[in-house]
Amino acid sequence: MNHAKRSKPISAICILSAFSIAIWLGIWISGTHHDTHGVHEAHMPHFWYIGILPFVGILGAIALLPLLKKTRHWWESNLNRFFVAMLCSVGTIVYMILTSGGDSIGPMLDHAIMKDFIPFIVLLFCLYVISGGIYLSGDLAASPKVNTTFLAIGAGIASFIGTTGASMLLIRPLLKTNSQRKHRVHTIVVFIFLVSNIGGTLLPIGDPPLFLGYLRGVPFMWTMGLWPMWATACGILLVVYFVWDTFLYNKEAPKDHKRDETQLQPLRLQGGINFLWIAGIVATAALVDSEKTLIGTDWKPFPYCRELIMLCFVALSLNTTSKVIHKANNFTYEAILEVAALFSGIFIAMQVPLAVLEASGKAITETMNQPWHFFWSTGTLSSFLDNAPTYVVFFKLSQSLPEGELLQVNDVNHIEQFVPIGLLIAVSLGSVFMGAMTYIGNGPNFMVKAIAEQEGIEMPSFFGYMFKYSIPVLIPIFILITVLFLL
Amino acid sequence: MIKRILVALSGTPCTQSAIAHGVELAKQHNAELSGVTVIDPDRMQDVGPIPIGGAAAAHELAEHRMQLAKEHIEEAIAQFEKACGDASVTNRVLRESGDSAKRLLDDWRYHDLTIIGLRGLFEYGVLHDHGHLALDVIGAGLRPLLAVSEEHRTIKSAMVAYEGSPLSARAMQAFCMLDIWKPMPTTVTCFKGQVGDPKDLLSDAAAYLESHTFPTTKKRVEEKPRNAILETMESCNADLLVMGAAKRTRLGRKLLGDTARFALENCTRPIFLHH
Repeated sequence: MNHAKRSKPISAICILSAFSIAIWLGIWISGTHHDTHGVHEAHMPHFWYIGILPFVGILGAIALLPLLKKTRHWWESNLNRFFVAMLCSVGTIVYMILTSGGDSIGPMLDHAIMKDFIPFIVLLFCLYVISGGIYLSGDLAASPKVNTTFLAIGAGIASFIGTTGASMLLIRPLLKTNSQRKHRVHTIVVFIFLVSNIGGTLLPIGDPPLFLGYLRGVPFMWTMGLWPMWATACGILLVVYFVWDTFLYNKEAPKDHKRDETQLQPLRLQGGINFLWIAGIVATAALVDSEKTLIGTDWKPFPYCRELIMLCFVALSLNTTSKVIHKANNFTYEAILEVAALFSGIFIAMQVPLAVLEASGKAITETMNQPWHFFWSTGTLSSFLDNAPTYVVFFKLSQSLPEGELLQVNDVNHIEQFVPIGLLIAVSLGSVFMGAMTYIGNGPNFMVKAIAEQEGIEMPSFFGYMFKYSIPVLIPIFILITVLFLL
Repeated sequence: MIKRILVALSGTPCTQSAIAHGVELAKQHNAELSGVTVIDPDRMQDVGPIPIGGAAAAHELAEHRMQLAKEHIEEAIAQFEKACGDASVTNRVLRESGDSAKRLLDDWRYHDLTIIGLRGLFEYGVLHDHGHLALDVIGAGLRPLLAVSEEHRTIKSAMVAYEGSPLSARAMQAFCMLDIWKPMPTTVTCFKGQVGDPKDLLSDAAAYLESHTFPTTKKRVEEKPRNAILETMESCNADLLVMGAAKRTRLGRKLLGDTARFALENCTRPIFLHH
């Protein structure tokens, strides 16, 4: 969909920047001086307020450039997005050279690109491609029971195939099922709450921020321990939805319901083999870690073995999936390329803010030190910014407060670190749950809205969604979660 | 004297009725009818804030909206040309692109009356701005305006909403002076919040309407116009509501409420708006 005109200088700058970063990284990795084991001392970066500008800049660009008339079309190109990402990356690198010297760049790039970006984007790519090969069609009778069951199944599978995969799999049959219903907006909105967000709480592959936690040493199955909060939020939402839908169903004309009952199509799953490849991805993510020996063996997987295996599952998926299914899903690589283009810059640009947090974390946590503080802070930012960098920022901050029950999380540089379990729960829940607060809190929210609109549903505006739906429905649930689990 | 009528072909359920009213008035006045379509790519493609990973979906949605709009436009033009052809009315189609309000105002300059559908202007099944654009163009100077509902209704009686303000007076004057409709039974109604003594206002307005040979009755309603205007219209069995469009700015409408906007959103009978 890159309709914006390609500019040669922009292409040249992108290639040059990416090439320079790759060369620098290559030299550093092949060198002998990159042992970062041992004590790590945090210090406040000089002129930190300048150093955080690239991070603020890239987040600002993501928020504003698609909205401004003059930049809207320019921003449609992934090349131009990558250009902005590279500008912010180069800005961060120049800042670090000037303030900390050239030696600081290698470890920073290693951390941002090799330890964060590559595993992160490979996982997202694999889930995106494989789940894009599953197509569910059908038209059931759109009764409150059927709709509630749809949502419950979505909330159940989102943790295992990712919120994006679950949303894309279920939204079309749900829309088809409800095509004869007069009141449909509430169903789509609750679908966004449950399937596109809250449902993805239980595994690191459910939602990208949780995978970043996993890359930072949180055990793979640790998020399963969040099931009481997941069950509470999902349970309440399902009950609220059932009552709501029953009320609206009874207000609709019986002739519409009868018409609906005469136009049924049984559910039909195509590309079901991809569930097997997704199970492979889950198993690989859970078991293969180049820092640990494989369970039951003495073999330690080589670096990027996990990513390589995952990519093999993608190859299997592409080989076993009919192109018809991809076409039915409107599958293209644009969305994942967009994520890759932007996150290549986000991961580099966020290194300075993370260093600032590391150095000033103790001061910040003197006033902000309770789980509920972290839940609401992470959540508020996750509502409007991408929840992955938000999670990382608050994860880092929580490490400044090694009190209470701690979880050992050996970080990507093998430095032994601890994170308070209460705060980790709060950060995880805040970033995943409150992604549902706006259309931009999580990628699938907007995708679901766009598909629903294309099916003729008048979806609420950005603020309409917040003020008519997410604030009145979700905020009371989040308050209850706070009272029950985070005080 | 009406010689040129502009009909907004908005592709909404009210478009058919707007065309029918246009054809009826064009025949009555032996006038020329222009059908205008406006596609506003900026408005159509504005899908709001987009999260990371959502750009492809946003682009697809924008493309879908443009396609849908084009289909609605062709459908509306076909309806317009058929209706004009069937009634042997001289007609032309103006296909515009760009800022909807600006393009409509450009074309309005050379017409005596503009007819739009209620609840949506140039939305083509894509946008849902609930009368904002209609009020924006009225605020920008477009007048007089006839906004019609989905159901076509031959206009045989009218209700003039009059509260003594210059805006409502101008609407009443335009209703009489433009001679769009032959004199018809008219109820002049004064709601709560009028400027001056309601008795005097009603008497003066009735005298003015009668001087233009409109048989007039007076009605006083002790409620705010927003709450009672549509009910009163129904109780008078009026086919047309004549009113001024207050508050030109969007902020003004938001802060103070706006009877015209409420009527544009909720009325099921034609409205003649002027300011």
